Amino acid sequence: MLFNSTDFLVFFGLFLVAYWLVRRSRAARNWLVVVASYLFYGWWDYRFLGLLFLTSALDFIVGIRLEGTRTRSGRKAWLVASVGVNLAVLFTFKYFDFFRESFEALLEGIGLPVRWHGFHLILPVGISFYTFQSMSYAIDVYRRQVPACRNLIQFLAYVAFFPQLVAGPIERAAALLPQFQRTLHIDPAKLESGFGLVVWGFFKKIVLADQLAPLVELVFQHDTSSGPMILLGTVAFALQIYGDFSGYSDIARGVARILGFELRLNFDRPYFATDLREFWRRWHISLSTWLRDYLYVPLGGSRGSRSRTYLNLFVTMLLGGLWHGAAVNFVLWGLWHGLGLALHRWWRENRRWRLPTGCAWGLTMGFVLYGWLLFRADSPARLLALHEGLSHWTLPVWWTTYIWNLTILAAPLLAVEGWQHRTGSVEFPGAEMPRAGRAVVLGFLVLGIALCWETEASPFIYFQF
Amino acid sequence: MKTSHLYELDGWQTARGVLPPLLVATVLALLLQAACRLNWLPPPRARSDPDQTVLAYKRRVSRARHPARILLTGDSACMTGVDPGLLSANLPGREAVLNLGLIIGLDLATYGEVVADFIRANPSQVECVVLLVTPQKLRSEEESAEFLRLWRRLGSELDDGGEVRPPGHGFGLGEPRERLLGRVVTRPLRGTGADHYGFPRGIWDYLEAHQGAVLDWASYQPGSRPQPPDYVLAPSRETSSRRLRVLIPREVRLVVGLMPVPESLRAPEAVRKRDELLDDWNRWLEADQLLKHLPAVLPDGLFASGAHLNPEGQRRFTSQLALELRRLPPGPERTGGGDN
Repeated sequence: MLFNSTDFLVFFGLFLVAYWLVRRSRAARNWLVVVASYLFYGWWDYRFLGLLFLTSALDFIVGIRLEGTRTRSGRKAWLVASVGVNLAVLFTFKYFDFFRESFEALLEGIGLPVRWHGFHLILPVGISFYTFQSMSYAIDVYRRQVPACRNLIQFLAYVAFFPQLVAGPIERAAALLPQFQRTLHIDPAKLESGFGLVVWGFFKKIVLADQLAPLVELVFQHDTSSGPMILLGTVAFALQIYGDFSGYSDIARGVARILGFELRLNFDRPYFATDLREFWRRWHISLSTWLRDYLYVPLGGSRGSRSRTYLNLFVTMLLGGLWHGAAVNFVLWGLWHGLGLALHRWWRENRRWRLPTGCAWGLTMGFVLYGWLLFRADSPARLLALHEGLSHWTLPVWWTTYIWNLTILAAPLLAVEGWQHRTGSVEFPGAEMPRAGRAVVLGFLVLGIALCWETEASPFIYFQF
Repeated sequence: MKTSHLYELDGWQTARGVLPPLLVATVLALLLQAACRLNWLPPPRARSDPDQTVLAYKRRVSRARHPARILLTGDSACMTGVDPGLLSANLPGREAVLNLGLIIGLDLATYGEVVADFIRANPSQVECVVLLVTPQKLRSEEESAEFLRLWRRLGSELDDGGEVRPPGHGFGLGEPRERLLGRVVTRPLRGTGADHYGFPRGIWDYLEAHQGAVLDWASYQPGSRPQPPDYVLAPSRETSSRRLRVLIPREVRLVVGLMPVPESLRAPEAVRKRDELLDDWNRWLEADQLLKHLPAVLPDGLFASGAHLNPEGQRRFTSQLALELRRLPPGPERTGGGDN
């Protein structure tokens, strides 16, 4: 079920009524969350509900076993079982065909043409998100950072909580699981800010991202695009993917807050970053911290030699790229950011002077934009065509219309984020205004959403990951 | 029983938290609706997609002053198949040419109507009307009520000085959306050719610069089971054909031909069948000349689709059409239902 669909509006309305009815029983609330979340997920494809349940049930059992096992080797065995099964599921559904095809191409390249049978499976929506969330719980229990959850319904609700099930934020057990174990408080401030976040999230998705999508397609779907248009198209894509994904995260946070839950901040004005490390502290925070805590640090982080640290950065970002999907463009995008983070680290360790902030910002954004170009190219052939196009500095007759549209669509986001950057707010626009001003700002946003609302909802980009 | 969650707010606080923005949005929406009713908002653009753009342009140009002495009319194969500038350059008198070709979704009478409109707006000027359609046009019933409605609406609203009204959608805000946002942000085109035209405005500009012709940039891919045209005249075409004839004054020469099809769709005895079809059709059309020397088929490489020529095909076909028009006898020479 998509947030930006009438189905969801009806679903959430009914859920709120049921949620009010179960307010006196924590167990009933958790049951309701599980049933509603499974309904939310099954709306897309009920056949994958079993997979979601099995992933959750496995880590639930592993958590209890980890706590009950005294020996180090025994605990390690349980952890390996959890991580192994989770990664095997992920590999089977997401990566098997990619690696098979890549291997076949490699063998063909050296004169050994072979063909293996592929699975050709449908990719379950949000599998990377909920697998990582569930897996991190087992690792945290292993590390004794959280106690094992002994209530299956609470655990199922933690993994499948519908606001963040299919596209995050990837929550940690230490933060979200206890919220299913305690009494929640819903006060006027929470309701208002939750509602404001939902409105702002919808605005970013429907008014910004969905309206930018055809502009992006106009450049990236054609092999004849020229250098200036590819640059403009990449800027449009950078804004589209940000509006789409951060819009989803804001709706998720807002919906959860209306229910009394608190989800973590996932985006913190990433395009204001003045270096790449800062960008990754502001972009998809729940994934970047996941990669840091469960991959980069266990690999050794920055504790070893310099070359080892650079290698760790490369490996972490490569796997971060692969997390997005089994395709060459994601691998290249990950490697590009790995290279960037390694270079930035080298610069920090060896610099004798600071770059002016404007230059640093420009360099960072140039680097990030090129990364988005790699990310958006949906095939190696398209990537080559785009690079060839970059060398042609001609302008199509419609370039002024393109810039006009891009400017008009990006203006509200830039204005709001510019203001937030000055005030340090990470809430919705107008949050710090008096009630009347807030109502007017949100009213305009609601009007924009209503004007741009399409009967057929367009899916969020990150659903495919 | 452990309490799940506590609502630390009453009904009034809930309403105060959620309703004010919704109220503001509702008031703004009502103001926009009122502004539409009072015509305070600019009219919506009649060019939100390629078909609308083409039809709006043809409606407008057919009612405007234009020096054309030769008019082309027909379906989209005519619009994409003939370059008026090139045709004019290849004619001995370099007469100005205008391509009024429409789309297959409109009936034959509409092809005549657009010409009649032009002749009314530019009296005693047009010498020749060239009607070109695909063979499929005469066989199948492909008229779309939606296109006919749009064509009529474009006509009547232009008469009123306005432009096309969009269908309402999205919380009943369809009209404000088109009249406000549609004016500010244009949706780009999608699919083949989008990189050439960019936005519907690009098609409009191209139509204007090329006297009503456009280019189809796709490349034709023959299917695994090619379906050649069967060169059959549907009896239902009689009424609209006769209506077309009535709409074109007798003093203007009417010349009729069929557009070529790709080689991979060549039917057995294509030329003979094509000529027989033209003769049959001419019993209703009573054209002055039939263009039987135009090619019935052309190589696949000159096509963008089964019906549309690509840019190279347009160039080649336009030259051949010019040759045919040069061969025609100088004055109107009525042939009744016969051959040329």
